[in-house]
Amino acid sequence: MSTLLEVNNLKTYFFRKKEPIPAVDGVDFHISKGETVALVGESGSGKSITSLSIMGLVQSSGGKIMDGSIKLEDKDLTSFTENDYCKIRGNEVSMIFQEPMTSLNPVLTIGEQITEVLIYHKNMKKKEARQRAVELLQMVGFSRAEQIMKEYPHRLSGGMRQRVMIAIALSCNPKLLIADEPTTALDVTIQAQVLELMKDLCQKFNTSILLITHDLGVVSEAADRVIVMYCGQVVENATVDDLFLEPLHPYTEGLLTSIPVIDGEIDKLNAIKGSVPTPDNLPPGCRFAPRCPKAMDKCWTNQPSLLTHKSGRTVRCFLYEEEGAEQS
Amino acid sequence: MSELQTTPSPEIRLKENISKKPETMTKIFWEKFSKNKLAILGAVILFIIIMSAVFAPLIAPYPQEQQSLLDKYKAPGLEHLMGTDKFGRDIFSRILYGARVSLLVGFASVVGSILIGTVLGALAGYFRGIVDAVIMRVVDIVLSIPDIFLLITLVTIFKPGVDKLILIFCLTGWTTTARLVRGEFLSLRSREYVLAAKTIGTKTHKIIFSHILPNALGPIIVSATLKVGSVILAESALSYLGFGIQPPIASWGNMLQDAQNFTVMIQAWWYPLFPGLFILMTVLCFNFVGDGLRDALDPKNIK
Repeated sequence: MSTLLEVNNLKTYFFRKKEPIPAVDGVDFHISKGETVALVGESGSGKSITSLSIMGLVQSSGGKIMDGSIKLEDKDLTSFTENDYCKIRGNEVSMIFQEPMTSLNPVLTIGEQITEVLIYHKNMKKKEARQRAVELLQMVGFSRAEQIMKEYPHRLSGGMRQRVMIAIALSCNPKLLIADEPTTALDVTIQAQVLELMKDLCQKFNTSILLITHDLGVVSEAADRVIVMYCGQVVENATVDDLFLEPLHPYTEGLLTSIPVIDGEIDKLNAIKGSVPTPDNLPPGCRFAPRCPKAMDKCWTNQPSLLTHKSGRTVRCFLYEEEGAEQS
Repeated sequence: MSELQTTPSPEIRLKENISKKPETMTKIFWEKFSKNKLAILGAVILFIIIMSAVFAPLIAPYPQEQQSLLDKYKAPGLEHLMGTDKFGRDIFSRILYGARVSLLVGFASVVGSILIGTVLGALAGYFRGIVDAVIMRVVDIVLSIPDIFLLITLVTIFKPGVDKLILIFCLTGWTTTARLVRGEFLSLRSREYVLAAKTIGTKTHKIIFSHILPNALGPIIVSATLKVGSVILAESALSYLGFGIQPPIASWGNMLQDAQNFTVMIQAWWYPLFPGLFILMTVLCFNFVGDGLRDALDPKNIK
């Protein structure tokens, strides 16, 4: 599979009184064509900022990309101007948000919101775009699409709105779909349907998905590969099967053991002690050291780099240094 | 677009629990607006006043400037519905023609100042930073000058006339609208659907004017309605002071000024009464309609 998106050493900083706050600090990963990659981590680990950096939208929320490159096929997105970005947003890269209740404009009809993208990116005539929009709505499972076109968002349920969002996001057949916690705000039965729909459609269009979530259930269901982030850094990068079978990084292990097991006999859930340090107050050594059960002396003073484990996975931990791992 | 399969997959087809007829915004709006009896009354009276102003030449029994010194200070009666003034002019006819001036000045200056205020307020609220600072300081400066003095000064520099009055009301009236719209934009710009619009590649000007602005329209319409009333008042006040519409063109304000004489007020009560009554009624009706609109357009006020 050829690489679609390559993120290298991405550093996105925010500034408070000229003081830099590293929200994303040297993130590397890639997504192949047609692949679904999950980006996992606690709140504040930099998942959403990474996705906004790819979309070129961090500037508007006050962030700045300080270093690194984001390559979509052969285009370097970090050198793009706002105008260049407008041409690829929605067309080559699109995004679905967490809150379907608020991500549709309340004063525009569903039809207006779908046709807008088509008219803009595909240069369609109004009539043509309407027809295509109806097709798209049918594709995401609305049987009375014609009628939905005339509805305002407040008349639809959360699941229906999220399906409309999916229709909008996929309307121009993008190469990459960034889904920022697409199912968090939906109830469980709808979650599965929306996830299924998203996967089906992306397979059909050969669209890659960057799935941002903190729900490991969603990850195991939908993703091919998982990237675990902690404090703005990638700490582990592995296929889903490997990660769930044998988590390498103590943080990943912590995440996995803190999922309740339905038929398990543990009466108290395992929690990772402490909380995520704020990005303006990071520990000097390994960022996970203060919460890590396996922390060694050097973890407190030295920062581990991303190592390639013998299985080909990458992990950011000193534990694996001796096991014949080499620095990547 | 042949790569798309357009039949819906049955397993994901959900119940679409939507009643047959889509509830349009207009329908919801009318339902709420019609509940407010005062607003309806105001709208009806305003409609009558506006229509009679538009068709003034057809309705008015006399030309507005026709003098008849023999008939001066005639009390209201069949011949002169609202009596006559000191030149024997028919007051009813003059009020109809005066309505044209007052309403024209009211509507035109409000449309102008709303346009200026909305655009500047939207830019300030959306871009923030230096744009916001510059626009808002200009607003502060204009607002810190007492309106009536500014109006009088400007009127003395330019010659008074309907067009000059409209221009001046536009230049002073946009500030409050700009503040209102800026506030709306500051809160609306960070909504998720604005971010969503950005992620599909919508250009900035489209985001401002076709995504955010419609969401801010409610407060703008309400303030516009209330503003018409206050501009009519200001125009009357200026005309009353002699800086506004100049005789012989009739305006409600300068008719009042004509009548400001103790003996006139005692002997010909109808002379000041009717222009005053019309100013009062029109402004009151605009306020009633404005209140009604505010309730009807407020999304939080759900029946």
